[in-house]
Amino acid sequence: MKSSKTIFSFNLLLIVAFLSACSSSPQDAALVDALPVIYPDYVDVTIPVGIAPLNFAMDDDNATDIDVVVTGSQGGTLHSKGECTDFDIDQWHTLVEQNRGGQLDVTVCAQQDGQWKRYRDFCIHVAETDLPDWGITYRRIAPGYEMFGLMGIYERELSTFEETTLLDNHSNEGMCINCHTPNRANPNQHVLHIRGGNGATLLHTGGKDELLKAVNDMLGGAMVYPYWHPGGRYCAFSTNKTSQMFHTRKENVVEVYDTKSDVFVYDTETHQIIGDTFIMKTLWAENCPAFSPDGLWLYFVTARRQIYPTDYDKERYSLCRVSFDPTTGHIGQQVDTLINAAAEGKSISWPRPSYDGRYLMYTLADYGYFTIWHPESDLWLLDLQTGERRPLDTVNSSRADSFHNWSSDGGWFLFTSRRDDGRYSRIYLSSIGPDGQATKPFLLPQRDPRNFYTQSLYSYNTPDFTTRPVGNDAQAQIHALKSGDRIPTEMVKP
Amino acid sequence: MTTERLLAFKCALCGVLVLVGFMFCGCQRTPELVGGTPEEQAYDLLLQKGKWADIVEMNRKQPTKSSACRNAVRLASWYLGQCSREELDLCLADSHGVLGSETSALMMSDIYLRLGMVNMARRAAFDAMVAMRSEKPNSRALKRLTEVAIITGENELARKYLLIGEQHSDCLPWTKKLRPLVEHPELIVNYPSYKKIREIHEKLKDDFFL
Repeated sequence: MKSSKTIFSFNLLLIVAFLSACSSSPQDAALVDALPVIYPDYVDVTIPVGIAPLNFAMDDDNATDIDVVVTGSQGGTLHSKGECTDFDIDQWHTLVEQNRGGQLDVTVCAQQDGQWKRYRDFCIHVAETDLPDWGITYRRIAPGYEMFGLMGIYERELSTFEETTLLDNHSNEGMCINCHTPNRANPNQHVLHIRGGNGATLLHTGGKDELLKAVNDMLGGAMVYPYWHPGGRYCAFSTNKTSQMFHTRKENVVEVYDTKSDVFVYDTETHQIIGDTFIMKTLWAENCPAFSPDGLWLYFVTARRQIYPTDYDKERYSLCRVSFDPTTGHIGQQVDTLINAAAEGKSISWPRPSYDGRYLMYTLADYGYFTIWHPESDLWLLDLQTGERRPLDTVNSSRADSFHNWSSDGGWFLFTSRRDDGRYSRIYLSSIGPDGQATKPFLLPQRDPRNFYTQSLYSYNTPDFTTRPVGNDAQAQIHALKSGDRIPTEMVKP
Repeated sequence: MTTERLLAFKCALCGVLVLVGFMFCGCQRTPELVGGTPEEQAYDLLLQKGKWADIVEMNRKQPTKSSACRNAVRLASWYLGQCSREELDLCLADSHGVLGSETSALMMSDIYLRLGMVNMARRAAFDAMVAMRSEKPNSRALKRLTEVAIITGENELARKYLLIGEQHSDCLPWTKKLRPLVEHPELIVNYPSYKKIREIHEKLKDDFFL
C-alpha cells in the first residue's frame, strides 16, 4: 500500500514538473529593467473616472501572451491574461472610481519564446474628475482623393466600446458626409454638410432637421467649416473653394489649399447669411471661425491669398478676432490680430477657445491650414488671460497632430494624430491641469486595440465630445436628403 | 443562315471565346480583373503584362476615350521609344478625372510605380481601394500600398498592410512574398525592381500633380 502511494506521489510530482517545464508562469518571470513597450502606449497617461478599460498588448509580435496585474494606490486589483488584456468593464470602473485622484500601478509580464519576462511597473494616473461627457462623435473615412468611398459619422460611448452609426453613405453612393459639429458638445444643436448628388447643409436645431441648399450662389460656395454661437441662434461658417494637388517627391503627399475663402455668420431664425467686408476681404483668405464662450467675439484665421498652386507654401494664416453682437447679429468694425503667425513664418489653424474662456488651442504648421496632412503640425495653447502661448510638448508628436475640441467642462480635449503610422489619424484624449500643463494623451480605448487599429483602413476626422447620444433619425435624414427639398439661404450685408 | 443570324452567332462565339480566354487566364493566375469598362480591363491586362506593342496597336485600331488608357498608350509609346519622357510627363501631369474606376485607378497606380512616382502610385491605390465601396480590401491595391510603404521605408505601415493582407486568402500569395522584406527591410537589395524604383524615387524632382 505504502509503495503504491509512493508511486502515485512520484507520478504526481513528475506530472507537475512536466507541466512546469512546458509552460513557465509569470511567477517565474525573469526581471527586465525596462518599461514594457506596449500598444497603445498607456505608460504614465492620465485618465478620467469613467473611461472605458485601457486594454493593451505588447508592441512586439514575438510576445505571445501578456499577464497584467493592475493595483490601485487606494485599493483594489485587476488581473488579465491573454494575447491582449481584456479587463472586465464593470470591475475596471469600480477600480478606477476607487482610485480617483490616485494611480493604478500596472505590472506586466510577457511571454516570449516560451519564457516569461517581468518589466518595470508603470502607472496610470486617475484624475479627480469624472468623464466630462457621455461620448464622442467623429467621421471615419478611408484615404481617397477622387472618389467617395465608404464613410460615416459615428458616436462612441466613452465608458464602453460601443459605437453607433449616426449617418453613413453605405446605401447612398456618391454622398460625402463632412464635419458633424455640435454646439459645445450639446447634440440638441448640430450641423453637418453633405456633398454629392443629394448635397445639403443639415442643421439640427429646435428639435428638427433643416436642409439648407448646399451652395448659395451669392456666396459663391458651400457652408464648410462651422462653429456654433453659444446662444444657439447663430452659427459661423467658412466658405472655401478648395483644391488639392499631389507631390511626386515630398513627404507631404497632398496639399489642400483654398483659392478663395471667407467667413460669415448664419442666422438660423431668418435663414440669412450675414457677411461683412471685414471677414470677407477679397485679397485675404479667412477661415476656421470660432466664437468665444461669451459669444461676444468671433475668432478666425486669415492669410494673404497667393498664386496657386506654385506659392501654396507661402500661404500663412494669422489668428484674428472681431467683435460680435448677438442681439443684432452685427459684426464689429475692427479686426484684432492676436498672433501674427505669418510674420513668424508659421501658420495657425483651428482656433478653439476652451468653454471656460481661459485658453485657446490651435494648430501650428509651416504653412496652410489643412494641417492633418502636415507632419510638422502641432497643438499650441494660448492663455487668453496672460497672452502667453506655448506648444503642448507632452501632447505633440513628430507626426501630424491636429484637429482638436474641448470637453463640455473644458478640462479635457481630444485631437487627431497620425503618430501611429504616419498615414491614418486616430483620436487621442488629454487634459489640462490647473497649472495649464497638459497630461500625456491616451489613444481612444478599444477592446482589442492592437488588432482594431492595425486592421483598420480608416482615419478618424473632426472628433468632438457629445454630452449624450445624438439620437438622430438616420432613415428620416436620408429620406429628406433624397427628397431634394432644400431651404434657400439669403445673403445680407450691412 | 441569314446575315443577322450569322452576326449573332459570331458575337456569341466571340463572347464564349472571351469568356474561355478569361477563364484560362484565371487558371494561369494572370493579373486580376476588377471593375471598370471592358476597354479599361483589356488595356489593364496588357499593361500588367507589359505588352507595349499590343497597347499601341489596340489604340491605333480604336483610339481610346479613357484617360487612364491614354496614359497607358503614352507609357507604351515611351517604352517603345516613340515619345519622349517629357511628352509622357506632360500627359501624366493632369491627373484630375483619371481615376474614375477601380480599374483605371489600378492602371494609373501601375503606370506611376513603373516611373518611380511612388506617391502618385499610392494615391491611385487608395482611390482604387475606396472605389470598391467594400469593407474587404482590394488585393491588388493593398499589395501596392504595401509595396510603396516598403519602397519609401515606412515599415510600420508596410507591416500594417501585410497583416491586413494575411487575413484574406486572395492576398496570401503576395503577403508570403513580401513578408521577408517587411521583417527585414534591408533585404530590398535582393529585390531589383523595388530597389530600382526606390532609387528613381529618391532622385525624383518634386512636381505637382493636380
